[in-house]
Amino acid sequence: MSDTPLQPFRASFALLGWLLPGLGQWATGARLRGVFAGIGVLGLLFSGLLVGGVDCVDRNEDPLWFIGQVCAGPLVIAADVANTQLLKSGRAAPLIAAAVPYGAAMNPADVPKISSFKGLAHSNEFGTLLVFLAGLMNLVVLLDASIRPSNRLTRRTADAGTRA
Amino acid sequence: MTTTLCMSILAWTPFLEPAPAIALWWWALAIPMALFVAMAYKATRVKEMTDFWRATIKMTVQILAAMIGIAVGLALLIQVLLPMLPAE
Repeated sequence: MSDTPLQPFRASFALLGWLLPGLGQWATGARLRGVFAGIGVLGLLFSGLLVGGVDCVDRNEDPLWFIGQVCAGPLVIAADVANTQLLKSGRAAPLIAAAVPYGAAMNPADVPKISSFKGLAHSNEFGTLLVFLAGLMNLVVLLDASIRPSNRLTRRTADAGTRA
Repeated sequence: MTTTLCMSILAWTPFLEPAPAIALWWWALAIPMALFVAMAYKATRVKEMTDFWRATIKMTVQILAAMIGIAVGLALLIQVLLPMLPAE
């Protein structure tokens, strides 16, 4: 229930919010809201990347997670590109042979190679989860920006924008 | 142990390499996670921004309390109640 009429959905503010979390609120005039929303979403994103490394964003190996993660904006796409260009290519760290499944007979040349910086267990799980949460929270934030009444004249009014 | 941990932290390349020794302190990640989720959510929901920090801290505590409650409940279920069931 809101005290002020909400705007119809405005894709431009949603797009701004996707480009940089909180930018949509900033553009509507609710600058303080935008700053705090941005800190929240980017805090989750960078916490995830710090804990799991860029390997926790992987469009090919974790496509379902990536769908949620990419809602956090182009930074996630940059992390995926960094994962491919730096880790999977072996430029950042040497590639090592992956463990062969027990009982499987494999030609040593066919054993897949993985980066020695690849995240495993808790680091990969938490990194993936934190970046995914960043994407989901940014979805909430950019949807809010897309229907928030725009008020550039009085920033305080916009920051106090009444949403129940 | 401490020396090994210090050396692995010194050798760590942030953002490229996973954080070292995460198995020791993974549970502590729930605190920044709850705080950042509450910040992003309350930034869109509070009526007045003067209430922002109070609402954020309240929601952070609620999230952490719910997670601890679920953890305790599951621990009791697995370690106390289930062993009491007949073995057959």
